[in-house]
Amino acid sequence: MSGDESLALLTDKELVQRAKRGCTRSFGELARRYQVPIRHFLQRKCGVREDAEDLTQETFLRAFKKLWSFHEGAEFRPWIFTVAYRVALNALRRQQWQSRLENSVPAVLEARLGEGMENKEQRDRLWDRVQSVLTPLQFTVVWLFYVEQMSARDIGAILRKSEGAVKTILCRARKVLLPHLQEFTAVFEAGIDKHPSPHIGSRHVL
Amino acid sequence: MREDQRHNHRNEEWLGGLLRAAAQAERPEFSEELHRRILRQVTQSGLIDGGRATHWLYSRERLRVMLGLAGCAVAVLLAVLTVTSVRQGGLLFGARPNPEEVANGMNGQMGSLPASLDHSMPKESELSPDRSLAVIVSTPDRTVQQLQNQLTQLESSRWAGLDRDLMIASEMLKNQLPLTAVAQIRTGEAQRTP
Repeated sequence: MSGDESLALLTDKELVQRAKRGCTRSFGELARRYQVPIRHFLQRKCGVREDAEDLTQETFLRAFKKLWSFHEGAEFRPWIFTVAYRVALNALRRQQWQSRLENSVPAVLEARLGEGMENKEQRDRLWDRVQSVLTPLQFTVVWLFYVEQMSARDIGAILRKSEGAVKTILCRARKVLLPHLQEFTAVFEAGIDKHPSPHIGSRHVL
Repeated sequence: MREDQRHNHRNEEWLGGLLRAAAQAERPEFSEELHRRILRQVTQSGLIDGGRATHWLYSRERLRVMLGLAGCAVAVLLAVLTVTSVRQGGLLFGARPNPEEVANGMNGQMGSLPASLDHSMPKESELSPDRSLAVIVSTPDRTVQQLQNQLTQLESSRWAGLDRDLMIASEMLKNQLPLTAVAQIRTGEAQRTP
């Protein structure tokens, strides 16, 4: 069994302990485990794929530097998402600042409006619709709750909000989302009947 | 009621399933290149030393040491300020005395001082020559002693450098008295007397 394979058998806590002692391979294993969910979250949050890769890199670098502040016994997953969320907020602030300087629409807003996307199909994506009807905070809560399947408590820790506040945000987001998504799926299913295609067919599973 | 709950639960399940599946469909692939970039950046960040980082720079120990040093610096600064203020007779951290009270106190001290000096110095005409000399010689010492007593009292209350003024005044008073001349005269008389 090689070194990396043995690392794959370790839990997050064990890997964090080793990384805190300076083992970069252990941190590499953590980065391997969380690269995809973090990149996916950042991609959705900030809009642009290339930016998301840079932000993912920044997230893990910052996490490595701040690893000393990670409390023993805490969960690594909410912690790394907290770092990613902070990185995303900073990036969005930078984008807004740049767009103000250049007097243009920020990339994230473009993404949310469905403009600047490659084609109509992308614009029709369900999560684009979700982002267009929810506030950024509601979107983050919904993403972490449904996609990452985190508890309201963990989400609260990430967003620095109480568990109750997270549940309230989630409830309001559901009320907003339900009619929109019901309408979206109804139109979508009608579209399938008219123009069957492999892409759309795969989305029928949704 | 139960029907509503069941309906909400169904909606919740439908929403959750829909969102999860949509996210799964657009989930990015694992990027080996990005992973290498991350590892390279972490290694280049200067924290690594042959696979084992000397993490002191980013450790809690460093925080503790820095806090300890800051605490020591503050303590030393406070000590220096306290000692300086005490030496200068000022009350840096305590309540300063009311200026009017200080002035009254000073007037009272200054008023009583000549009286005490008058009592302690008997008139020369009332004494015999030998005794008068002894009185003259001992007077400055007694005066200084009295002044020092008063100084001690003053120092205990630390009134705006008055102790130093009194010390100087007593020295001046001692210097003004012709003690040497009187001693020479008396010595000459004693030599002439068989």
